[in-house]
Amino acid sequence: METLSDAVLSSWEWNPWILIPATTFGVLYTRGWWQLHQRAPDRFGFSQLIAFFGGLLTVIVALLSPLDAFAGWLLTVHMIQHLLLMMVAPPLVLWGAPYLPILSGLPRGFAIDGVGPFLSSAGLRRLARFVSHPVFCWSTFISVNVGWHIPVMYELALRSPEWHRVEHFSFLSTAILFWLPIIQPRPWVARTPRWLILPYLVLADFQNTALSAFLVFYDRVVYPTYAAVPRITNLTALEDQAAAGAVMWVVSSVFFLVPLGLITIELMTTTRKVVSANSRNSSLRNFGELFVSAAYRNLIRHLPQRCRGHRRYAEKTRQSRLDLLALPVVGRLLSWPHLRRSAQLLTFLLAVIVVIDGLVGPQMTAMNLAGVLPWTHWRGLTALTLLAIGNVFCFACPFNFARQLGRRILPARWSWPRRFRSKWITIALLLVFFWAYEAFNLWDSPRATAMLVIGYFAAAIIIDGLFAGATFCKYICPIGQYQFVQSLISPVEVRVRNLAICGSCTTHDCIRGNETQRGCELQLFVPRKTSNLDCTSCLDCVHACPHENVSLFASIPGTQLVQIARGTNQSRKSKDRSPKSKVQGRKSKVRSPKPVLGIGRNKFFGRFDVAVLVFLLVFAAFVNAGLMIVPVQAWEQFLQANLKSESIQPILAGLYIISILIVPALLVLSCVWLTKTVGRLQVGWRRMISTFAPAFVPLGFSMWLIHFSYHLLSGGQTALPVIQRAAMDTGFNILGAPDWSVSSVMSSFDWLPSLDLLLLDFGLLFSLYLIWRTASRFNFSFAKTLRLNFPWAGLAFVLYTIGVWIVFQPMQMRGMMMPSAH
Amino acid sequence: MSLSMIRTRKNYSSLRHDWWSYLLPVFLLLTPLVSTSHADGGVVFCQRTEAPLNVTLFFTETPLRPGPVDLSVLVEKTEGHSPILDARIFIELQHEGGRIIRVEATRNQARNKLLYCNTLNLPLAGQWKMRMHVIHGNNAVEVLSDLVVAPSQSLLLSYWKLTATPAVIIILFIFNQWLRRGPFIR
Repeated sequence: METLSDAVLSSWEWNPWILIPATTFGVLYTRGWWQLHQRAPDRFGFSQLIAFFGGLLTVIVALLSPLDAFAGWLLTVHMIQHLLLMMVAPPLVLWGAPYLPILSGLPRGFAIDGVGPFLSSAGLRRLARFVSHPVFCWSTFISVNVGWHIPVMYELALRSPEWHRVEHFSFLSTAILFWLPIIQPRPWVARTPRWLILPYLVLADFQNTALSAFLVFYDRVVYPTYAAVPRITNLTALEDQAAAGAVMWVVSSVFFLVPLGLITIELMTTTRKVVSANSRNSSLRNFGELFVSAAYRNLIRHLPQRCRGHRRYAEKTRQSRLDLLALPVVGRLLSWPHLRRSAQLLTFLLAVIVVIDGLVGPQMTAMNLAGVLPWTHWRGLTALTLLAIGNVFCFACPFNFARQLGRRILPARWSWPRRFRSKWITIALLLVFFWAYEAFNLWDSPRATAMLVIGYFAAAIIIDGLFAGATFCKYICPIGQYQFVQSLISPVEVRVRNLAICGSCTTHDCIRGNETQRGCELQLFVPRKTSNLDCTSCLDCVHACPHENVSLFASIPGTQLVQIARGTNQSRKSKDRSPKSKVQGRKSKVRSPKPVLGIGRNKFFGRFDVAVLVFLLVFAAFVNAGLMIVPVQAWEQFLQANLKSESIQPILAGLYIISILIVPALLVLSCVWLTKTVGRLQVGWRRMISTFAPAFVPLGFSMWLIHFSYHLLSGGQTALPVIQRAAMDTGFNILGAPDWSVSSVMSSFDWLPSLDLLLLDFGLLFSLYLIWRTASRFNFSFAKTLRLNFPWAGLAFVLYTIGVWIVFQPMQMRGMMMPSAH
Repeated sequence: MSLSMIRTRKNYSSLRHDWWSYLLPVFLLLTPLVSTSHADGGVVFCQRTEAPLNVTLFFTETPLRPGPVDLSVLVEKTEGHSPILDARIFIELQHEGGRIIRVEATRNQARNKLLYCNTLNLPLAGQWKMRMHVIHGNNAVEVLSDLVVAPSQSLLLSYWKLTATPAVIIILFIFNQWLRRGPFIR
């Protein structure tokens, strides 16, 4: 049986709010410390490393150990916790001189572009000087210490976990400030004579003595909570209070008086150079200057080396993209010529089974494969794979067999008419699909779903049976267009390994094909390819290239969108950017101008039809999710009742025309008008829309992901009984009898709203960043660039607000679960 | 070493692919998502002594509101106040509208291992009647109490951290760009 001491000692909490930031700081410090230790081992030795981690460990012990669990029951324990946060952890952390190691440990780009401007800001430096002045440090520490010991404040912290965190944070942060002039961690330089630290410490000890004595000698319980909680020790509440006061008195005095003695000895034995008051404004002796200049010295130490050779830097940049085909196992698997065919066969068989079950199986959605797999599982999984991997659906497209069949039975000779070589047909088909999905309750009709799939197969056979190339994929397939647009955020992209090899290539097999392997059917020339748009990830170009110069590269998700927003691309980077002009900081004759809007390599994103497709999919994400929620469904019924319409279809058609066509058009055109007015730009409205459209992809994708992942997470378990039922119907009893109770209980997750909001936050922030980058291409001043941002950022905020509202509404599974779940 | 070099360096930003830069904020932003731990202890809601057991019920925050609520129970011996670690605690809550919630509080779910804990998901505001049944060996104690659950807070307030985060990041980003482009870099 577990003993009392076991129970007490096991009362730890693994709180990620503490552990993740502590781990992050630990990793950053170690990374930076290692760099500095190699250069200056005497200044950044192991004692600094040990002290810093000792400080971090003290914080973790104070906040996660049983000390925190029992702080609400015993004032003595609570006092020990506070002393660890104020007296032990801060000096240890500061002893580790964390400023330079953490700055060096930060990602270089983030340190220079993200933190650098703040560190070099004159205003912030003045603020840092003020905040680090000993008078401010002392008074803040004392005020916070006394303030939180006032009964009302202490009780507030005991009753509210949020305020308790605020209390701990203020103790830790002000204590770090307090110990700063005492420890003087590198590169901190004293601005006051060292001897002033003596009264600094003595006065702090006076305050501590007064507060401790009050707790020790007061004859009533100061904090009523401790009188109300159960006594788990033999101490009464009053005795506990006196003990807490005694602990505070003794421990704090030791921590004040020991440094006092050491500094006194130091002053008596050394002649220390003191910074006089007159030299405070001297740039070198100024704390802020040193604070910043030391940081910069460290930050840019490697700069000349990195800039010495552009080729070396470019090679490093190229290496930062992961060549998936060069990986040992994954590369071999992806290079396997039959991989795609195998994946397609699998999805084709799955599609056939879904169609058969949809046609002949039970017509109750939650019991039919066609009712569950496409709408609950397939959509969620494709959205997740788009984010994690890439356009897996097009890679494993089940309709590819139909396309091949069409080519065999039909001539497949004609060229797709030039006037239809755009996204307009797809846009129309998407509009019809979104309307039909709601109007005919496609999700609630297995037979209609099966017919839709059959129709898709038929269209693929006819289109690709009559026309050459991948006409169906490029100009017709609505799913494909959805995948293409959303895959702009994907981490995987087909690219060339070395552009120089393509420059000397004369055969261009990647697009033309050869005897053994066809080239790109979608007419994408890989050296000039700038994004995943129109790329089915079929890897035909990879297999066709005789130089093995085409590969699959993994990079950070969203990299393509950043490049589109910046107007940069692969070939421009390697050709146009002269290393000399950058390294020596002088203007170069060969320096290329900034890319002109919509002109250049990113041809797709100068096209109006592509922009309309992007905006359609962005707005459709919000409309499609919005129609799932209860208030919108109530509006639909209200409209139907008031308009006395017998059918919901015209109501839905009207709603769709308004929400997907009219409102978006008005919003986007308003943005264009405002941007042109504010910026006095002579850019056509179509080009303006085309330029800013890609910036909205992340926001739209986040909403699709929220919507589809909700279905997947809530109804993911519904697949099992349906598969069991389908297996039983066909005479295979190996999976057992279906347990339909699984389908009637919708899984709920406490963290789902947090996840949804986090996804929306990411979507919004990424979209705003892309809008900023796009607006920056106009080369205006900061204020004007900011003004150019406002209309588009406003549109992003409107969509974000709608998204937040949708997330907070009850969403329905609509037919995808058994009736009891509604 | 002059600051002009920093400005020169800035031009290389498009060539830089530093995985750290991207992963660090993502890693930090994931913190609120993985924060699944629940607090226990907190404010004493009621106490009942019925020899040989002394039962104390805590709620983390008051007033109670609809949604997840952390409830924890301390069971002690009346004599000596030593905590009991092998009791079983069943809690039943009945709303004035008739809805009933039944849970068992266990030590596994508690952070403070002297407590028995569970997270109740209170669906409705209003008056609730609580019946807590504590069993230890042959002894049993029943605690009856009324709970008043205040109307729920706005969801925006409940998730204010996640909705406020973009605003903070946007302000910092604009400030960063202002400092980088403005005449304020020395």
